Amino acid sequence: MQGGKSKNLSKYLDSMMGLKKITDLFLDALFPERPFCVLCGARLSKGVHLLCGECRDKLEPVSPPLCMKCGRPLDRENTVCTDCDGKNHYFIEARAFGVYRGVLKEIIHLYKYRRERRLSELIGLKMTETLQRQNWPSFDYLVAVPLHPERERERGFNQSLLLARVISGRTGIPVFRGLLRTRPTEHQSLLEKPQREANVAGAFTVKDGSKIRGKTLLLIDDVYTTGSTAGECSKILLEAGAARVYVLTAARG
Amino acid sequence: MYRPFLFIFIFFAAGIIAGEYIKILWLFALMLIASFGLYFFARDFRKMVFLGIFIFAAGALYHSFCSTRMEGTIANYAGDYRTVIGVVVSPPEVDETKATYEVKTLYILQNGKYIKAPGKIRVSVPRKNSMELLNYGDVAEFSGYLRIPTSFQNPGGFDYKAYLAQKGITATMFSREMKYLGKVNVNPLVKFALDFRERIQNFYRCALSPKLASLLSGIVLGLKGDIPEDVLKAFSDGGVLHVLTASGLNVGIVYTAVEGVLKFLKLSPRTCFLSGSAAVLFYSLMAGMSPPVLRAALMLEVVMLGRLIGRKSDPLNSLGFAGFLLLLANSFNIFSASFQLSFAATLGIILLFKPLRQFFDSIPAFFRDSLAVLISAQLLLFPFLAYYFHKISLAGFLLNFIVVPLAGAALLGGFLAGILNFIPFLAVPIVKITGVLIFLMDWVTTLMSKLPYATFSVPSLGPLAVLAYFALITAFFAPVEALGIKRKLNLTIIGLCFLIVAWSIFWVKPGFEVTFLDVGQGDCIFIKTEDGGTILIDGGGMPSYYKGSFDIGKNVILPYLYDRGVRKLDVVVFTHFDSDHAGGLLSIIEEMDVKAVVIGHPDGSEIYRKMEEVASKKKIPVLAVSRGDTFRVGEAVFHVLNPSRHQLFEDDNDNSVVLKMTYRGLRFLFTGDLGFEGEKDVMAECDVEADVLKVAHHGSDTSTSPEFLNRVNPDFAVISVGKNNSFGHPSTKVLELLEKSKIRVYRTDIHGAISFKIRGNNVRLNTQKK
Repeated sequence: MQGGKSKNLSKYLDSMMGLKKITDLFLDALFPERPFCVLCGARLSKGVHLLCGECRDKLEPVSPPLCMKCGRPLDRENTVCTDCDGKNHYFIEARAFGVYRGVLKEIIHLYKYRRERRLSELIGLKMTETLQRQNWPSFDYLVAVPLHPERERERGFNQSLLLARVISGRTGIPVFRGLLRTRPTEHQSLLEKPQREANVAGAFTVKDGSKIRGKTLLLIDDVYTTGSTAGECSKILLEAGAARVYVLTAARG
Repeated sequence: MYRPFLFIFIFFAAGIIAGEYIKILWLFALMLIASFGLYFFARDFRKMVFLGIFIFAAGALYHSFCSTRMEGTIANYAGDYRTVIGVVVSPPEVDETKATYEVKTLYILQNGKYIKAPGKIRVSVPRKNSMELLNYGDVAEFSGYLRIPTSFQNPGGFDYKAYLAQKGITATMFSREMKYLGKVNVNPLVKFALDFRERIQNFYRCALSPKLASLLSGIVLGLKGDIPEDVLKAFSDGGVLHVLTASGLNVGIVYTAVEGVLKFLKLSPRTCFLSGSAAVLFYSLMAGMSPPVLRAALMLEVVMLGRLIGRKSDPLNSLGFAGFLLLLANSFNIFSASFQLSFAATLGIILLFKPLRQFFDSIPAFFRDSLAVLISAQLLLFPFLAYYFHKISLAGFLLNFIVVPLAGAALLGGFLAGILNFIPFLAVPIVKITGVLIFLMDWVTTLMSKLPYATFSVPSLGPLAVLAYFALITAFFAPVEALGIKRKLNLTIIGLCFLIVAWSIFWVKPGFEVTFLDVGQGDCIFIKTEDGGTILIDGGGMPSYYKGSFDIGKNVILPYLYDRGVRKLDVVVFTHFDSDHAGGLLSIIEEMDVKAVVIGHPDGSEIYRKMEEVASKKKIPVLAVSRGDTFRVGEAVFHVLNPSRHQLFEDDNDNSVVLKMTYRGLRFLFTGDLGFEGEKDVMAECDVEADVLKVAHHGSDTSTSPEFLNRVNPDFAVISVGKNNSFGHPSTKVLELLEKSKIRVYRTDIHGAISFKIRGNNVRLNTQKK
């Protein structure tokens, strides 16, 4: 009996997989990918998606030397920046793929504000590459910086979560979804540096904290500017029992 | 080709059109199999070619499948008095005298037994005072004469039979006896939608005057059934008929309203999407699932689904998707005017809006965008408007700026009032205010559509001109680099195509032409002289007992004249005032620029009175002619042979105007309804010999005596007569006589329109049906 049942189940799953393929094929036909660069509009050559080679070349990876703590580009090796000097960050290290300007800034804007969701693939891939270059311990969970449900509804998606999923898909590290935002906050980008920390203070909470007790976590966000958001999230995660928190963002402001 | 559905749609539609005209199934089957096989061996571009051929062949085969599936067998029983049992599948179309339904037939009474006869017919039932109307899902027994719909076979004419075939209707019945039998289980959602629509419409009717209520139904639901003819014509001439069609704006409002409310209640995006979609489906059912509504609904759904799952839709691809689904639902859709107009307009806006907006950069934003929408749609609509309406509206370029905002506000008001109809104290004020807007809209439309030069008549474009037209648009709007041609060449193409299009619109075919139009039972002869002179002799007409809205003049003759590029008539001849000769002429002299009306003997008939009324209103001179008079139009000389100046016959037919026209030695004799008595009289006093004889009185056995025929001694005889007419015209006696005299006979009921074209010493005879 038992065997029969599981066979049926696997058959069912197989047919579901077939169905998924058909649905995907249908959706791809219904929402065709435009063979033009999202930024400059140049025709894409075969096998290249979203961003043309020329625009890709203009992406600026953050180049060392970096602040050992927050990842800001500096002139000298093995040091910390003025911001981090004497400051106690909750996370261990923060790193980013690129500098938040030029092409990267534009595609992050397209991604977040113009809802060009498929860009998560491209940005997530770049972040995965950055992750793999780090000399970091292996992670138990990826954690995306959450949006308030209200804002997530407005935008239709959580940009950090999509990035976390892409990285998860490439690295096999599962995504922890227990970090929540309980209070709607102002857009950090609209605030001056000193106000930012106050803005996010107490805005987060952790559900299912037992899952992350003693674990090593990688916090994922789109942009790191002053580190207030990353700091606050790390603090909450540590309070919930996490052992260590690292931070990976797409861009460094 | 990165838009898969546009690709599929284009080839599928092309396949359907090919399948309609080429009925060689094995050829398409072969294409299907061959392209399927070759697809796997080809690569890149060729792969796409084979895929295209595959879809093309599939379209042709699918169309043939649809044709057979829809046809059923009911049409095989046409041509007799029949009793059928069927289910009503549409809400009634009601006018003062009758209610018309689409009926899916189930059984037909044959030798006392009911046998299966599936199919769809259109049934009209006369309205008696106490009679309840049937509705969707009612089953009834109808008895009446079952007939195959007839079309008038004239160039540029509207094909009624094909129009019905698009809806799967193969026969019509006028049912004087009807017995209600019961109800079948119908789709409750459809039933609910139709009931709700009835409720809303009734609410409009209670609160507003019939005209305003019907216009509001048009604006909100796209239903034009109740709108009076003259109002529809004003909107059509004013170029604002589109506001009476349900489309993108309507479904957009429905979706946004539902989604907005649910969003406010903080429901999940998925719930909002599903509810909005359900509302759009419900609305589409209410709006009768017409092609424009479905197109708009499907395109909206694609956008919204994309928003839900975070993907971007491409308007062109979505248009192709909507088109493909509509063709799958019914392949005949591609031949329907509303499908073509809706898709052409949308395509125009998608493709040309942006370049046009750039073009009008210097105009203030509001006007610029509206103007760009208007012109982008009009540009692609043009060949279709020329084909279906034979005119384009110049007033529309101004009127749209007034009417579109008014209609938009009325649409909102109509929706709101419709939904709130069960709370009268809220809904009534709203609908009253809306009524004011509609009143203004109707007033300004009527006013402007009557201005001189409000419309410009265009003949339908031939295949070459249509190609040239689209090439012109492409060359004009597509960026030169995209076409891969040099700028100079591009300009040459633009110039050349422009010339071809302009030429086909303004160029009047040279040569002398006499055309006997198919007006069913009746006479209508159109003559065009070498230098563009135009004469119309009679204009058909419906029998005087007919109470419907069909008018031969408006629905058959005018479209023909417009299609030929005729913009004025020099002479309109009323041979006499019987309805089957003069009835259709009334709307012609009303509509057209007529220089003179020629009559014989005035009589006291209703039609004569109306003719005088119109003529005096439009200051058209009415000339009474009699034997001995002559007039010329261009090179054609008309001798009046009848009536005689002094003596009148008792039978008005014998007083018909008889004209003998001579052009370059070629003689035509037009005899009206002249009978034996009149023939004798004419023969005694005039030379009647002619090359072409219009056989008098539709070939009746009270005309065309052997002596008369002998004296005329024609080579050709034309009989203008309706198929299966109740008079038994033409008589076998006359037909035999003509045959015995070795005269070549042409009949409008068999050959359709018959035309003699004379160029130089050449006479060519063309018939609409071969």
